[in-house]
Amino acid sequence: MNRIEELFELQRDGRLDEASMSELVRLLDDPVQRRLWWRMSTWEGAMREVLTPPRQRTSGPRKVPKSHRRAAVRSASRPWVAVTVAAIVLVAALVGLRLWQGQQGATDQSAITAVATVTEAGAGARLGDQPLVAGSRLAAGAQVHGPCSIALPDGTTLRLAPDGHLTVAVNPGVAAHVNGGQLTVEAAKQIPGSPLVVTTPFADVSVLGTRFTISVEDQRSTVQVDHGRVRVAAPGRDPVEIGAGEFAEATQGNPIRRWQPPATAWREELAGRAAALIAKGWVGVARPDGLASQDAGPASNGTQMYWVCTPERMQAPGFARVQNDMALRLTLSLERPATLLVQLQVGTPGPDSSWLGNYQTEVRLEACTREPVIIPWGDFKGGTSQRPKNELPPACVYRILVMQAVEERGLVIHRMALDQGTPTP
Amino acid sequence: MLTVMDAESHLRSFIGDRTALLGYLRTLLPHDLVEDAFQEVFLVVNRKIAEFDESRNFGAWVRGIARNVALQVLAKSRRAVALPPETLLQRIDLAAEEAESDHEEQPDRDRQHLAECLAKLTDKHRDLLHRRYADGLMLEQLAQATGRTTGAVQVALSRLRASLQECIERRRKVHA
Repeated sequence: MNRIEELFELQRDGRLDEASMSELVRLLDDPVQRRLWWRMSTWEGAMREVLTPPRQRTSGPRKVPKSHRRAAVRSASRPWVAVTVAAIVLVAALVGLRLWQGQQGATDQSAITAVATVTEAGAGARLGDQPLVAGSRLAAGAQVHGPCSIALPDGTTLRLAPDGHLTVAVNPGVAAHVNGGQLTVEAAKQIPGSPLVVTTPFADVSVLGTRFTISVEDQRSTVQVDHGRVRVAAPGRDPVEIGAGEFAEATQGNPIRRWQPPATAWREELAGRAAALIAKGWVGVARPDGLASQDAGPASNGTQMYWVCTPERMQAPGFARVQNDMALRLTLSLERPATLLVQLQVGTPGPDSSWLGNYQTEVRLEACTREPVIIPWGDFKGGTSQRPKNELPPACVYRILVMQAVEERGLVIHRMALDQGTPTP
Repeated sequence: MLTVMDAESHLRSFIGDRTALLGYLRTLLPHDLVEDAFQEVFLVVNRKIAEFDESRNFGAWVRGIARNVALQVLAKSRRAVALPPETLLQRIDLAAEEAESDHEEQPDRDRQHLAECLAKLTDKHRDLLHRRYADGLMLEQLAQATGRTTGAVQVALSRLRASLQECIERRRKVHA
């Protein structure tokens, strides 16, 4: 067995450390080793194809009828045809969905001992493995996946985010247990001595009449209070009461921590236009306290990775021209020195936009910087298969991604902006 | 703009080279995300084929799409797995371009031979390959499941690949 095979297997398993990665890159400077690598790679694809039974894979691409392939070529000259067909298909699908939802709703009204009612259900919401629809009544122990809103008999509303998963009334006196994701509670006024309780894997939250949000991640539960006060308790640890604007965090075996978020501005400007730095479902969820998402677990080398990014498509078609003097300006606050991997994705504007290139650079920052960090466009490097920077079209859309590997949180993005791009009419 | 014939020819080439693309995507993504990414790449290629500039390398264009799709799939999966570093991807792209220009024999052209050669293996060996390539088990998991060291599993996989390669070569000669 040669070294390149060994490194290939390690790369597949995400087990390449920095030294092995450097060694691999060095080896691949040799055309013979590159050839071996590529053979291994295509081998893997073939093995996967042959060994996976057809019903378990989707290996052959979904068949696109010949007429559709032709349409793809023609559609540029007759876009209205594609739009009309798409509209008809969409309307038919919506009508079908509506009818089907109606039937589901009727089924869910069957006689159950309901402890809660679904008032809104978004796409993808589920009750167990069945689609969840508005009007469904939920029995104790029901497993619900968001996005949806649930009304409790006392008037309390539970708003479960798309990534949220809860169990209704899992124990007497417990309104819900949040298994994962985010839940916002708008609690009705509680009877003294009998507070609403929502449990999580790491802490129990007693409501004293308030609106708050619970986030459950792999290693921690976080509570953010919008109005009123809540009490966060965990066995063997001192409980913490937090008020409006405060957070509490419970992790396994540690004291419950409370803090006030920094005055960060997630909604900032990008080249003079408002750009909300909220990565809705794109690269994790930017937390409302301005901290990067960390719900995706450790990276292959064991360090915790945080992704933060601007929205998937910065809706600013034509807002900037790629110019040599263009720079990316970041203003961050760090709790410790960090090396950030900064990526700038450049794409075509419009609803059919595609990413033309993904250019990246590394930036070393010392602790506690609050000064803008300017990264010149010239520092960004792109891959060979991507469009060279000097061949990018004049009007582009951008997405900025910052990745940081640290052992725990410590990065707060105050501002990400593209500077010196020339606005286009 | 591409003609219908050109577009069809490229799509055929895309479908014909699917094992290469699956392998490439596996370089970028964990095992379980590859199928979704592959489908998405196909759909994007199909949607954008009319925009493809004939003066460019089709394989490189598809790999560029694959990278963007891989980023999106990773993001949707909410896993903190980054794409491999640019230095590695550049070399892998180069390897792909070299293989394309050499018109190298690729295993996907020999899928039938491969299936026949796999059928000749013992159940134990086939099971090992199945767990690695179809189930996507990591070396450590395979080692645990088979009671061997990871090194021993790596060597066993390497030998099995070599023996399958020989078997395929023999069949190629017979069928030639």
